[in-house]
Amino acid sequence: MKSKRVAILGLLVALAMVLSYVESLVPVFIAVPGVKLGLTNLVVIIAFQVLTAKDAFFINVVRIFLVAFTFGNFFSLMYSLAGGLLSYLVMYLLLRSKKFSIVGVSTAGGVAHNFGQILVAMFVLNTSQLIYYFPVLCISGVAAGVVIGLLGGEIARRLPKVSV
Amino acid sequence: MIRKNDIKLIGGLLIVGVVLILVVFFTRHSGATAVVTVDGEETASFPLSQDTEYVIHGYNGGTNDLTIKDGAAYLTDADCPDKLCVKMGKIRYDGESIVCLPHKVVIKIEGGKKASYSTSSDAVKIDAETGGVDGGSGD
Repeated sequence: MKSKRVAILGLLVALAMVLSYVESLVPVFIAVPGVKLGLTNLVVIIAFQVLTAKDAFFINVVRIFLVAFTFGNFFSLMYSLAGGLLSYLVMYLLLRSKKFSIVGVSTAGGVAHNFGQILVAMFVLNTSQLIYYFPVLCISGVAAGVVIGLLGGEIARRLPKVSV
Repeated sequence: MIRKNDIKLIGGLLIVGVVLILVVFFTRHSGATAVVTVDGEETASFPLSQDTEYVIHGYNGGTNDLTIKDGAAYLTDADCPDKLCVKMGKIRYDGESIVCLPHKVVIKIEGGKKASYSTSSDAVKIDAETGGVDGGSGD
């Protein structure tokens, strides 16, 4: 059972990394920093449903560090960690409340991710005015979160629950 | 699959976003000065009333070409990978900003106080000190 766990988590981390890369190929279509689809969150959303919350956390954090070490730098790591951890926390709490479907969970996660990134940018760049980007990033986070939540829900419904 | 609570959450977040956008839109007023910061340190500032060009030397040796024209500030070119900062377009209202994350450059508009003449001489001085390549930006 242990090797199965390693294999499945490894596969999902790899998938998350690939999706990070694919996302970086999507051209910027809105001139606001931080607007993105959040394809990587698809893997975390699926892991929440077919695996456990702990596995989702592991995949999320390992992916963030691997991507930052491979393609990024210290500052991109800070942005990813802030977004990734805050969105994980919010999604975990909403899931545990059992009041929302995965679409609501993913939406709140998308907005939390963007909010976390603005906070780090305000700190790193020492510019409080960046909070002015929040309204746009709130709406873009909702849009991305709904799409990823619907997609993740449909995919997870077609996958067997894995016990690792 | 989608539950009532999801709709409330999604609707609530959208309303928050739209209301905040409207608040920002209706309370904004034209700014007076474009302030350039690199890595959190203010390196230059220019009055929006005076057309000028300036090359910002960002973190990691990157450059962003700043232009101020007709009361608005914008970047005409940059050597960062995505050039998102160039695509961000023109800013002129108090509180607006252009951000280049790779170079840690922020250009923000600051408001109302009209000190355009004294700031303008300051700006020229700073420009000279940092070796600003005013005429050498190519255009």
